[in-house]
Amino acid sequence: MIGRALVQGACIAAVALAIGTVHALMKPLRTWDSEAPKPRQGPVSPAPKPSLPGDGGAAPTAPHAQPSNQLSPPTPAAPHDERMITLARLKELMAGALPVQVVDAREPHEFAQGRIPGAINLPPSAFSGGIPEAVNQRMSRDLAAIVYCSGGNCDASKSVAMRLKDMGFSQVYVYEDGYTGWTMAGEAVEK
Amino acid sequence: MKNCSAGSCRVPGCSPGPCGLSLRSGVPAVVRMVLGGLLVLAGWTKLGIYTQAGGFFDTTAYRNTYDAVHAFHLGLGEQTLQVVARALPWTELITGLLLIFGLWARGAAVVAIAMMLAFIGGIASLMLRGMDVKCGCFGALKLFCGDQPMGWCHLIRNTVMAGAGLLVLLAGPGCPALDNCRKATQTSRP
Repeated sequence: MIGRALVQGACIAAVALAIGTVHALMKPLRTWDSEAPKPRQGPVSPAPKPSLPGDGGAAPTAPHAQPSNQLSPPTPAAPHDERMITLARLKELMAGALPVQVVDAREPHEFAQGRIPGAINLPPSAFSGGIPEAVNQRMSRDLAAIVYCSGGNCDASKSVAMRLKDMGFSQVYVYEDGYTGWTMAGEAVEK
Repeated sequence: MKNCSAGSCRVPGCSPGPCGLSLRSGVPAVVRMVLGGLLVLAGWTKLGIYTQAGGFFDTTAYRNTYDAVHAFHLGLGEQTLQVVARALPWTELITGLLLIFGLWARGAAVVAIAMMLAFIGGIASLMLRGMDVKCGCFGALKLFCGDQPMGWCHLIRNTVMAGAGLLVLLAGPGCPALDNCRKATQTSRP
């Protein structure tokens, strides 16, 4: 009886694993790491093409050519504008002409104890019921959003950043040092 | 006269057979259906099969499950994590449905027990490492243990569910169950 049940159980698990694998392959989840922009190729990065005798007149394409009238801070050649930013870059963006939206991805009790001034609390759990009200009421998809969590190995900021991207935010950054880095640098906190 | 023997549920006029109101057949059936229902609910919410906000196979639900699996920090690679995040809810859903209908009930009980033991091990490891991780168990429903990080409540709940699976494994599917069709040797008038 038990042997037969084990065989049945193995069959059930195998079928579920097969369905899960196919499902994962058909509709892969975009994650922060998988969405990371590939390193930009500099002017000398492409392998030099051996020149053929007599083709000296061919005009090569200019992969590094960029329009010079860009106003936004992210470089236009980057495939995605999300990236990990440092404290210096965070402060630069916060002091810039365009307002930025700072998102605290920690849990509400941590948020209540102290946060980066002006931050909005959006832990990953806030998204479990769909789009959180705070996203619709207090955030704009056209402005840059900077997400942070505790710092170190916390994953909440990357998770929230990807959820915001799923919801149509185009400029999403992750402040990699998190709240710990902010306080360690002696920056002001809001309580 | 129709012979309702092995595989007889496919024969018109044959059925799983009458169910007597007895503790021996009724209790395992109720336990099996409750356990199956919980597993279907867990699988359904994790897969986000349909939500008003996200349509079919809602990405948010998938991301919640991915995050929940990732939070255990098992050292799995990206691809493996995604397969686990997809295969786990499908396992719950299929196992739950089999338990509800009482088809391959003992096999489904084995899978349910294995899953619960894996969850118990994972939660215990989180507790030992002092990590506060939210449970993605029932998606947004937060059944039984609310919104608190995984801990004793989740351990007890999963132990109870493993116990329910063990009861089904040992006592059989009870009645009514599709498994009984194959055992039934009854005759019915045409």
